[in-house]
Amino acid sequence: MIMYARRQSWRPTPAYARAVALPVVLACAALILGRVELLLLGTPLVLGTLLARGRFTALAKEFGAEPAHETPPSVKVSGPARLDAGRTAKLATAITPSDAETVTVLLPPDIQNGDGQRVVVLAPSTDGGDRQIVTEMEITTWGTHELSRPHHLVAGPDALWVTGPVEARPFTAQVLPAVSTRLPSGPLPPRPAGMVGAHRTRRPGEGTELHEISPFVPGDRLRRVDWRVTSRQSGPYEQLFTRRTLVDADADVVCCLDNRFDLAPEVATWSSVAEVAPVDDEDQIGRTSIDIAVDTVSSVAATYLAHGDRVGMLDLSTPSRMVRPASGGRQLMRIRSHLALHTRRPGSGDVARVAQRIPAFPPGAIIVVTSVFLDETVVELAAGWRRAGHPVLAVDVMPDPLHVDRKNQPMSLALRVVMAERQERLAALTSNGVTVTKAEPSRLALSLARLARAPRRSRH
Amino acid sequence: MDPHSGEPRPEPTADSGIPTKPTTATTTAATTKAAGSNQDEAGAAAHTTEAASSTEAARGRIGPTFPSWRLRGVLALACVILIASVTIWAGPHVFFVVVLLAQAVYVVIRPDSHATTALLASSAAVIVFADVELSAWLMPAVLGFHVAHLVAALAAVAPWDTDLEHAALRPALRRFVAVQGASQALVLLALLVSP
Repeated sequence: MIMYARRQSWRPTPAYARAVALPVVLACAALILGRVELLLLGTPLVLGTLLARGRFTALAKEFGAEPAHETPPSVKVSGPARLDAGRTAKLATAITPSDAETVTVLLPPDIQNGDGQRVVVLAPSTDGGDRQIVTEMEITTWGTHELSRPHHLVAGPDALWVTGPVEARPFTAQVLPAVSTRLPSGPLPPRPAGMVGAHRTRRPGEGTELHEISPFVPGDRLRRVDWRVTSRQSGPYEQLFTRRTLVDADADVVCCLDNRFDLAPEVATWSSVAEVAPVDDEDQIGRTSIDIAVDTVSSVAATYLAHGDRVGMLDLSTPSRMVRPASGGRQLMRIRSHLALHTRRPGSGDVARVAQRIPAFPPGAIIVVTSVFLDETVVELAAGWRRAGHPVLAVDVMPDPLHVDRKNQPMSLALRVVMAERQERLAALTSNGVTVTKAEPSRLALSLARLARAPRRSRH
Repeated sequence: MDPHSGEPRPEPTADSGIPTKPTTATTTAATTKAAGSNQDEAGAAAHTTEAASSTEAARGRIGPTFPSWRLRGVLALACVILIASVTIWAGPHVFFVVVLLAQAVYVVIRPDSHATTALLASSAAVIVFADVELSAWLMPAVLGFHVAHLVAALAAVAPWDTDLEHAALRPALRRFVAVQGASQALVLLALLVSP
């Protein structure tokens, strides 16, 4: 086990003790016994130490460095404060100038939560600037993470003095969930609101999409007169023609995240007492339902926001932290930051409940709810929203495929029961008019496209 | 602006957020080193390689590296040279040779301990108790003595799973060459003047 130092101060190494004591002992023995070879054996150690200290002669200064008694260098990692999951990020390990000669430093790993490379590098001298070592890290997991901790050991000339090992300050960054896929334009609410979106409606009014060209009637605006058509149509009967357009509309979309359960593809971990996705076993466990839900919310939000719609987000366990619907690129960043900061990974022992009082959504808002549908609560909520007139898209974020040990008969049986109950709930949702889809990007895109083209009940 | 150097502070780049090193400082340092390189050819070669490594540093990369176990190999070789020269020169009992070898093994495994001091002291003790005349075997013994001391010190700060940058060892290598030149000259002088 490595004992890390809290204070940065120089201390001599066994090599320094050897370089000082051994020549003295050998010289004494040589004088007493009259053996010149002992004196010669100790000569390189004396000369080497003198050159390493480098302050006695011009020759020593030429070959050596200044004695290491100044402040040791500090080593820190810097990089972007916000990163995107699924991309690579450049991190810089900076070493400040000092009179040290080498720095043994633990560089950031190539992949998040991996093992970094430990290197011995030349320390920058006091007459230069910082030395930066830029490395790339593949960012895999969203959330707030400690990406690197540059523990280091600083050595003076010939490693006669050292500082450390020093436990450096960690570099922590916020990893935003990825917008994993570009989805098609989703369904429109029965009564689209606003006049800024990119959705076409069947309601005449101010917009860009041509509806009809009709004769001018009192009340029409003059700027709506289509002079080209008027010049062609008019003759003996002089008459003005106006262009009538359809309203451009936007939608309110609320993404509801049910993160009471975090289920991994490995069914055996569902009943474990520890966290579902401990850091050490994350690679083996794979993407859990929370990962899939967060990516889905991020992708759906990006899709609707790209069409000028207003998107909000709600964690069903903590509705007080709702992100109110808004539009624009900053809203996407706000939602992704909220997901990275506040979405927690519950353990199997947690008994989080859906909040009793869910805030009211804007009338006609599209509701996208992500869940594993292991209980009736979310089903009742989604059915209630549908009855209230909201288009509801239920996204099943259960990992697929699930892995279960076939030799474990009780677990296989229990899984079959759980999945059968789940199918019943999904069927109940469908019967209530809720569109149910898997979170797989292609199937989600297909469901959104079908919903967008489906005939709407209300006329607008 | 840096109040100490008068040079602009590194600013985070827009895309990565990583502070960039001022280009002027790097260029100045390289020019200074290049100006000092006109003294002699050896110095020029050394400064050229230093300039190359400083270029790598300016690019934010690590220069060429080698694994730490090679340093342990050099340490083992130095111990073998020391023990072999002492054994051939002084002709100690096999037991002492085995003791020296065991110490050498421990030195390679734990260079950060005082085992290197014990090995060097034991080698000197073997020579003292052997009561031998001055011989040419003193030259490899001095070489092994120095290399074992130096490499053990460097290996102590480079654990097994570490990569070492060539440039990091260059200053120590320069001092080693100078010290060995002087030491071997002294040994040669002693051999010439001894009866």
